[in-house]
Amino acid sequence: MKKSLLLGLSIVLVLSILLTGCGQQPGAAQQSNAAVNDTLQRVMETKKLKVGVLPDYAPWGSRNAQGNFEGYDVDLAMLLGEALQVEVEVVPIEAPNRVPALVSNKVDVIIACLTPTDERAKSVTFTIPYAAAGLVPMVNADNTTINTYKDLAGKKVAVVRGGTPDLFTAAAVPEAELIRFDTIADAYTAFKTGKAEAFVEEDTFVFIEVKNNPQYKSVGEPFSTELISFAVKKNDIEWLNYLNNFLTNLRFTGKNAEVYEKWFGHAPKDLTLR
Amino acid sequence: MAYRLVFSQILPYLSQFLEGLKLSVYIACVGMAVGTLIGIICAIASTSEVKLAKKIVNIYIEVFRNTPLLIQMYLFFFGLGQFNIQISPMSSAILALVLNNGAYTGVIFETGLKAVDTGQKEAANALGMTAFQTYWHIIIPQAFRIVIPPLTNQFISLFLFSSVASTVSVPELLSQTLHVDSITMRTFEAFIITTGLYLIVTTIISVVSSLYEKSFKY
Repeated sequence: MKKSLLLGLSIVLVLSILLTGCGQQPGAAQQSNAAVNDTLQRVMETKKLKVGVLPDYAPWGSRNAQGNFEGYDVDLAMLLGEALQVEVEVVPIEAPNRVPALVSNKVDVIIACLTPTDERAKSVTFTIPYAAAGLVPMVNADNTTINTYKDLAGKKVAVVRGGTPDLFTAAAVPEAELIRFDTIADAYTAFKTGKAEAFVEEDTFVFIEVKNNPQYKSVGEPFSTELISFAVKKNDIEWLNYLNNFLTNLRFTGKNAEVYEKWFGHAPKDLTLR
Repeated sequence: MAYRLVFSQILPYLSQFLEGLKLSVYIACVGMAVGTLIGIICAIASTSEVKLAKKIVNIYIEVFRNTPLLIQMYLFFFGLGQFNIQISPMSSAILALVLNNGAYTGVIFETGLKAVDTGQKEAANALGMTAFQTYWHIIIPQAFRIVIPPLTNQFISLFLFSSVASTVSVPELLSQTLHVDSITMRTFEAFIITTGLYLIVTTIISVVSSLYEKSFKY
């Protein structure tokens, strides 16, 4: 038995060493990184761009009835492919495989309604923002106890794990009792079946749902607005420069606003400094 | 691979991992204790002569062994919620695990009971023991010894399956891992820590069980 414990622990150890790899020798590693990390060059050579998007987060990214991906993020991926003149492959990703997918080159860039927090920026690299999203709580129409987002304190609030609603509701109302689900569909179902008094999601999502379902209402104006960026892996500087330039052009020409309006039905939020 | 593991960014969240681990162990222990009780009752019923009891136990075992645990948990949590029967995430997770585990241990105990030589039962009868005395003093102690290894395996699977509870928002180990991952985006590091924690607990379970099994040898 002790042998199997040793064996197990050594497997974990070996795995971590393998993963760390050349990280042990920074000098040598950086030289080889330059070649390995040049995603821009690889994309141009293989004529193929792999973009990670969310498969269940309309209108950002989702799968339609025919099984094809569609949404704001997907359209941006296609525009990026056009700019590079390469074929685009859309890869569905979930929160836990975002970083592994980037590191193992399964995706070249993540366009998945991802908020560039300071903490996350320590482990992946974010581009300039291309959109911003506000957070609004949703409650039953006959609810009289939750009148502003501050009333979420002490209440059960359903959110999707790891998304902006999760991180920023916790920051804005630390006393709220967050119950976290793997998918937005589960969090929404939990609210609808009475498991939670409120449901916090992005303003666009909440406003559309409330309009279609009069038994629910939104609570006030968005209480928090977060930027949304592309993400690439660390040290991929050439690629990051290319994407930043692409986004600057996309925003300056008004194409970004046009695509945003197509999916959200209103003009995008102002991304200039407040 | 050019990825460098950086654990320092994860370490401030270590207490969250441990909180999660505590909950996972708790869920697994409750699931095992109550599930074992259900299992013993099922096994006695299905080895008895009562046809109706046999039938009911058989249906219960087949239903819970032949459907995914995830679906069972969803049904208890979201399904009952739709009929306005509200049970907490924790209770629905435990309920699903208990009933699921009861079905599996039921089969394990049934095998154990059947493995005890019928001569033992006949001898107990001949000595004038009641059915309860026969089971309590003669059959169950012997059967228990036989089922320790499969029961240990079941406990380990149950502990690992407790991670399914994260889907109904129970903040157990997997749930906490995913949460820390989403804050820091240090996926590999978070999952390496969790793998280690799961491994440590399962190893402790098998070591304790093998020591316990050895204490029965004569």
